[in-house]
Amino acid sequence: MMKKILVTEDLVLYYRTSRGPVRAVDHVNLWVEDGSSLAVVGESGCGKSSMAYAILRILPRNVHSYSGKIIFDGVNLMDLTDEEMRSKIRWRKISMVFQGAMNTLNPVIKVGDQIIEPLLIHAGYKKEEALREAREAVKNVGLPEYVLDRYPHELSGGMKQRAVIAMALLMKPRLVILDEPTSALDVLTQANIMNLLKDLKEKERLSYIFITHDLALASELADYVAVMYAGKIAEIGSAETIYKNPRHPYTQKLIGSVPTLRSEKVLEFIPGAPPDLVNPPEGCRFHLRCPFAKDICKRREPPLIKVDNDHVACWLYGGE
Amino acid sequence: MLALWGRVSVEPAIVLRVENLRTWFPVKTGLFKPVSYVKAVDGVSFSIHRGEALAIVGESGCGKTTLGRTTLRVLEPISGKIYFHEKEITHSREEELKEFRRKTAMIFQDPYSSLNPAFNVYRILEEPLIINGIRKKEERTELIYKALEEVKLNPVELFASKYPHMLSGGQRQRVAIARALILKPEYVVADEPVSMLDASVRAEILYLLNELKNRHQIAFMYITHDLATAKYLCKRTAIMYAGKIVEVGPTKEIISNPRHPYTKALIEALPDPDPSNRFRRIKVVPGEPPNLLNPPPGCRFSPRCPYAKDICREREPELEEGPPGHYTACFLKDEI
Amino acid sequence: MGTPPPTGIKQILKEALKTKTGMAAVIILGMMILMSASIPFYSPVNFVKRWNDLKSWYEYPSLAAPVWVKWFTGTNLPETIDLTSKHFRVTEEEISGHYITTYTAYFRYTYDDYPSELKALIKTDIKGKPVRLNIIFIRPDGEEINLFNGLVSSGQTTFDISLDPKLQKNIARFVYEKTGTVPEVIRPEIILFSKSPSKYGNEAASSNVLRGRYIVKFQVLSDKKISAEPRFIVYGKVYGFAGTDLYRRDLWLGILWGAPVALAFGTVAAIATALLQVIIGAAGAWFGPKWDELVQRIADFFLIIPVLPILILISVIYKVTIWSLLGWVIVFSVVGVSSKIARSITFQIREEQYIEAAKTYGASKTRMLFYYVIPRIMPFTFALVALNVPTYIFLEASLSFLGLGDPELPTWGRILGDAYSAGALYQGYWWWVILPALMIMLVSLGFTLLSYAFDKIVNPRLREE
Repeated sequence: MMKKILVTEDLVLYYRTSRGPVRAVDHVNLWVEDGSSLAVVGESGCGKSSMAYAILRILPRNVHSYSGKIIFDGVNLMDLTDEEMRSKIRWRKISMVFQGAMNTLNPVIKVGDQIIEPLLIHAGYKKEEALREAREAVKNVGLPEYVLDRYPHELSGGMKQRAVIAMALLMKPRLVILDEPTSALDVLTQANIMNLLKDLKEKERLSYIFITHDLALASELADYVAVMYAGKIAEIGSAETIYKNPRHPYTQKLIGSVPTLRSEKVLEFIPGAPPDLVNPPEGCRFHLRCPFAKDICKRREPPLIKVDNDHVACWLYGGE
Repeated sequence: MLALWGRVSVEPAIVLRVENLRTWFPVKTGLFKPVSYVKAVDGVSFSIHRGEALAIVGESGCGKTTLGRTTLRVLEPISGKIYFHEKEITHSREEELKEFRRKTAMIFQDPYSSLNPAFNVYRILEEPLIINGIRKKEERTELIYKALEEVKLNPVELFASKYPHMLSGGQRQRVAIARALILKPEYVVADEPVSMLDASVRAEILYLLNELKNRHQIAFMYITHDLATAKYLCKRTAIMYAGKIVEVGPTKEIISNPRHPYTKALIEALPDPDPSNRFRRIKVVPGEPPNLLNPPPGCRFSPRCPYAKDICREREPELEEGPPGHYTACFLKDEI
Repeated sequence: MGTPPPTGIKQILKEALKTKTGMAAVIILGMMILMSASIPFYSPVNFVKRWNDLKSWYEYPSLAAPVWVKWFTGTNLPETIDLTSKHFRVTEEEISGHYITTYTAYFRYTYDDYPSELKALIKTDIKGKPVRLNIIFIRPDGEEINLFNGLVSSGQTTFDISLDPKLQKNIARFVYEKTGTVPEVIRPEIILFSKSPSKYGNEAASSNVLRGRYIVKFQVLSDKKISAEPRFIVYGKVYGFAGTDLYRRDLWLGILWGAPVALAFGTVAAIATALLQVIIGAAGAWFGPKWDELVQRIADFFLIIPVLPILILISVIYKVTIWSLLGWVIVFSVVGVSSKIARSITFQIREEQYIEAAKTYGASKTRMLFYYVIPRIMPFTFALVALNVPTYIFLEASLSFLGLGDPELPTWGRILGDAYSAGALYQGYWWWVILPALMIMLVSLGFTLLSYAFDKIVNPRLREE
């Protein structure tokens, strides 16, 4: 059994809104093995992005609850102060590529100056050293050096995304969280970026948490897959298990709904819509749309039950 | 064998036909320079028959959205011809297009912004009816409830009174479909109708579109960047790149036997959900789609094409038939 | 899936009531509306005419403070005692062919201060030669003063005892008898009611007010039987909720009538200008760059024009009514902030997909402008409309203050203008100034609060979600 670089236990993140608390991350247990990729997949509003923010403690002002354990490399991140998180963990040990990051690059600052910013702020580098690091990083992601002197609008989408990835890797983190890193890119560029991520994982021995709604895309990178539904983990297991032999009814339907180019299949769909995170249903969050719902599913929330190498939160697999 | 006997059945009528269509957007690049054009659609020809769905597949910026809008005369082409039921409408004025508008419709990508947030569903569906002369309120109400039935939004009275923000993405898209179909159109353009919906909802909408298309024998143009969904709705697919159609043919053929290098690259780059993908590198083509202000000479794909020869950079290839019904615009199509 | 901003006026009002500012605004403005609505129950129908007919106010005291001032100063200030014909008892005597008809009335005077004015009136219907009239005033201490002795002809005769020196001879003699001097200025209302008149004829102390039972007699000598209607008015120093002005007009009625005028003028002007501005701003942005240019140039032109000076000019040259004033104000405000807002929102809406969708089912540009675009813009203007109402009320008040407004309608500005011309503040007639000004301030406050409440609801950035 490989070492686990990150484990979350009972991770909770609720937001405060005028309608009540939004239970975006609702007692989530997951783990990432060292040197492997975990894909966190789910549909819009399932809480996967919030989970990334919870791990890195990037919280908005309207937080209602934030608790649980986040054990990274043996240390519970929840025990650290905000200052320690900022100076020791963020960007150094764990970094993140945000959704649509390439579009949030400052248009009036040169790309190079933006890339070295974390080094200047977090690590106290001098500008010369920082630029040296930046040149390395940029080469590493397959970009020519002149990119550092350009402004964001002079670069293509793919190049911008590579620059953002270079920023995330600058201080040689152990774990990189990627939130929909290719969503704004066209298909061919997306393929290029996925190749880059595969190469970097090999070369730098990185661990990834790869967040996406695109199940097909996730399979390009995932060693393990965690399926989220309505703020909770429905199933978490190896990629082979999830894609070939999913156990949770939601995972089954979800895999069934992905169209395939290379094989014939009847597409599945799930009637209804994901629940409101302010007022989720009682018991298992999925029971209203589940074809196999039993009586207990309506009353009690299932725990994560271990079945072979898979973990399923479903009463169909025992645990009563 | 069939060739000896010729076609046994008569092909359904052509609803929409475009010939050498060009839609260019003027752009001022400088105070004293002459006007340049973004050549979004640059010489496209095809036809769509009754009850047929044609997929236009390409990446963002290839011109597929512009093409769809041009065929609906939301944009006016700079050259080429558009025929609706063999009547030319390329440069007709709005007053002359009233019949055309009544018989055509569009479904948009974003289910929220394509519905007026200030109107409830009833009002949204009522607008096309009022504008197209359905004067009696009872008649309109009946048509509205029937349309909601067809897209399976039941109970219809309840949904008619709701506002868009009360509906889920899938439900809003059904309303958009209902609105498009309420006047029984003959030609519908669907621009990425499912790409903003959750995966678990997409199939439902695609099946619905297919069902409605077959029931009412509507000619469909289905625009998407996801070739995989095209399979579920469209018998024929056209691949678009940099404003031109590079390959067109039966969807299954295009997927199993792509002949244009771009189509090949596209298919390579589109993953199926297969866990063994992570052990392979995707075969990629370098570079980015060209700037449509100044497309490269010759074949537009030649700067990125791994097989490009000199002829590719000098002359533009035309669509030529390969296997029957399958056309490719590439000089090297038989060699690769 | 958050809730989008409400789009109907009903929804917005409902939400406004939930906030504290909204509640306050509704309370204040509700009072104003109640005031306006209560008018039919309160005051005569052709009040406007009456306001301008100064003669019709003769029975009210002039420059009287509001009644509630009594409670603040502690002094029991006098209110008007109006002895009409029904207060008088009639006795008739016939002496050798002559008739002596005596009308007697009495009143108790218990106030701490002197009356402000005294007046006697008589209405007779004698045919033929005039008759002789005697007006006798009997004090509680028994002193009798003959206020008038002379001939009266048919019709209504008024005796301004306080103002007419001819009627004050006997009063002067009364003072002389009591003090040995004749005062320069004779103030009958003080002298007749003071315990011991001073040589100066002015008394201020409440200790010197002669309280008790007073009697007034009208004696008519005539050849024939006559019937007369006597009247004696002892004017007080306080009246009503808001006092009276120099012209004896009940200010509360004036203020009351000012409310609907102010509200109507303000709201109609604010709403009409907002509507016009939105239409013009949106139409410019909607129909294309050429139209937009045109509207922008027109806007620049209008923004340079100084509205108030021009309105003053117009009012000076032409006779203005409240309606023509409203018209001019609207004409000059046809471009403004709301048109800029409308323009920018229209540019955004143009790009929305439901507009494109409407084109595909054949909607005309004009229909889209009026049915899709403008209704979406209107909620954003509500806050501005509410804020503009007091501006227009002020504008009207300013013009009326200068005497340039509608010459007939009693508006708050006009009341203030009259007060200013009479030097009210310097003379101490504070109620004439403060109360109308307070109304203007209250209305402004109400609408400003309403505008804040609207803004919180409609402005997406301020919505807490």
